[in-house]
Amino acid sequence: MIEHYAGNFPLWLAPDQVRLLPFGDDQVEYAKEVVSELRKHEVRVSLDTTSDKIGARIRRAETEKVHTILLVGQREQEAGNLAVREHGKGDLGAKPKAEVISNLLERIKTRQG
Amino acid sequence: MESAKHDVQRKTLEERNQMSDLERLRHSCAHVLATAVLRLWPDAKLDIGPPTAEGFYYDFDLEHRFSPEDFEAIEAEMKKVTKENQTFERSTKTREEAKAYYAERGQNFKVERVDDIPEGEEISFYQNGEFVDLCAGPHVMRTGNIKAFKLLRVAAAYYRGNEKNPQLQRIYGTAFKNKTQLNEWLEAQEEARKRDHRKIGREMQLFAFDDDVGPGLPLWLPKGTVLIEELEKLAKETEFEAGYERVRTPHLARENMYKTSGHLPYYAESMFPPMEVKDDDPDKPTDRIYLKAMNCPHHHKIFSAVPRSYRELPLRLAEYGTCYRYERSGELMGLMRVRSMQMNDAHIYCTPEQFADEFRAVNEMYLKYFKIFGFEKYSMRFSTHSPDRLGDKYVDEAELWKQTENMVRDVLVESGVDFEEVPDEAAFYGPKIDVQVYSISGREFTIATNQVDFAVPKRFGLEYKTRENTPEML
Ligand SMILES: [Zn+2]
Ligand SMILES: [Zn+2]
Repeated sequence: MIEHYAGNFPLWLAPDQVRLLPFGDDQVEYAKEVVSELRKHEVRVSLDTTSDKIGARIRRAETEKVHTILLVGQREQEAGNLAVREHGKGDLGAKPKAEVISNLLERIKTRQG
Repeated sequence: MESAKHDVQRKTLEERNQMSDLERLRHSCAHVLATAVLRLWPDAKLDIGPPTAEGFYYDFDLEHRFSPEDFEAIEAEMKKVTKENQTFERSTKTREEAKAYYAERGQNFKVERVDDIPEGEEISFYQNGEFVDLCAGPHVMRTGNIKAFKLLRVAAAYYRGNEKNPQLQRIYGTAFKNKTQLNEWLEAQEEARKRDHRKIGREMQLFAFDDDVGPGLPLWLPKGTVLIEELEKLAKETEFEAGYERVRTPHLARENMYKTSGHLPYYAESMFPPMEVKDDDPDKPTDRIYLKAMNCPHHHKIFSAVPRSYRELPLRLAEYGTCYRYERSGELMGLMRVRSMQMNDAHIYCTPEQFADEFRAVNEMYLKYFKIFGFEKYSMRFSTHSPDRLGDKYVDEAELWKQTENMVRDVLVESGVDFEEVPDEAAFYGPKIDVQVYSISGREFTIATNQVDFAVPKRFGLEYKTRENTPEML
């Protein structure tokens, strides 16, 4: 199974399903809300608030094979959005927070991708 | 560094005649390798250089320790030998001449190899350029025919595979008809290496092995445990939907149960040796307790734990159990061959009339899994018994074997799955059906095994009440 996926597991199986990357300190609270909302639904989610540049944090998440990265900049925070990046698919654009979360939960539940 | 511990059997003349073009090419390349090594290290002692599944090797004994850093120089010299386009010329010697020839040159392994050649077979030599080698062939015509080759790695190998003999240095290489084929093969190797679960397991921190824990006993780190638990969850949900009931059984059992099941003595060498447990009462005999290597006997005991009626059949019991198997340490390989494993194991107790439906349902469950995992290609291997081995390799129930195998064959044909039938590979107690899937890298994995078991239930005295209220064997 490990070789079949070459370590790039589908969302439902991935050890690291989701990671939140707030751009700056101002977005940490917003990111934490998303984390606890996902945790409540047993999603394996982590938060990277290190001071590394956002590009470096994305690269780290990708080498660690995190399935979905959710980015929060000032723009996303103000609009109540999350910018989605998926392993192997790259940037998928920003969508409303509630939509992103329910999408993730639905995919995990049905084991789709 | 790997070390080879198996002696290779000298090929018979008939086997040599059947060597493929590619094997001839690769074996010829082994001669070219030896030619080059002798040019660079004239005091090297030579053993043999047969073709292998992936290419060829040659065994050497010399003071210099080979390393991949030498490959460039050796390959350059090999290149020269192929450019020289030497012919492979055959000649013969008598046994005495052959031995004297090698004794003079201090090639002691070769002196002994002369005696591997059976009486009556010609003792032939092949010469290319200045290099003469004891060999029965066959080869390509000229060294120039070898257009694409590459040295792969160095390994230690005991002379004749015996640990008491001196250790030789084995250089592995491969050769192909042309550069394109060689490059394609190298790329596929690289892709497989990248996908190697041992490498991924280390990098992603999925599992680890520790010397103090012991070989073949994986430690599942948190991220690897997630994988196992997600797969278990999937199995639980799928099986629940399909009408399975989950059970739990201990990891140990008394010797007696495995005698009843027939695993002892037939399966004894795959089980860990038993633990001797003395009873508090000195008059009572010592217990011999085994670690379970399979869940089946425990499940049979669950079946017989309560009186069963026909209304309960089919009864489907499932357990995500840990089993322990003794594998020789040399045969352990990452997670593919381990000594402890989680096995999703289910046993279905049904009447012969229910068999076809149950079997179909199991196949449908596999298809569901394959869709989730995106396995596109899969096939089944149907292993049947051999009538000549009844009573020794197989339970002596000629009629039941025939009936059961016909039943399985009918269901397989009807279901339209791609299957091949392999005679004389069944388990002791019944035919088996292995499900093989093909991963993206083209590797083939046996992902599940279905076992039809018509004999063991009888040995366990498993029975149920029929409509007429008389017990009947499963
Ligand atoms: Zn030869
Ligand atoms: Zn079993």
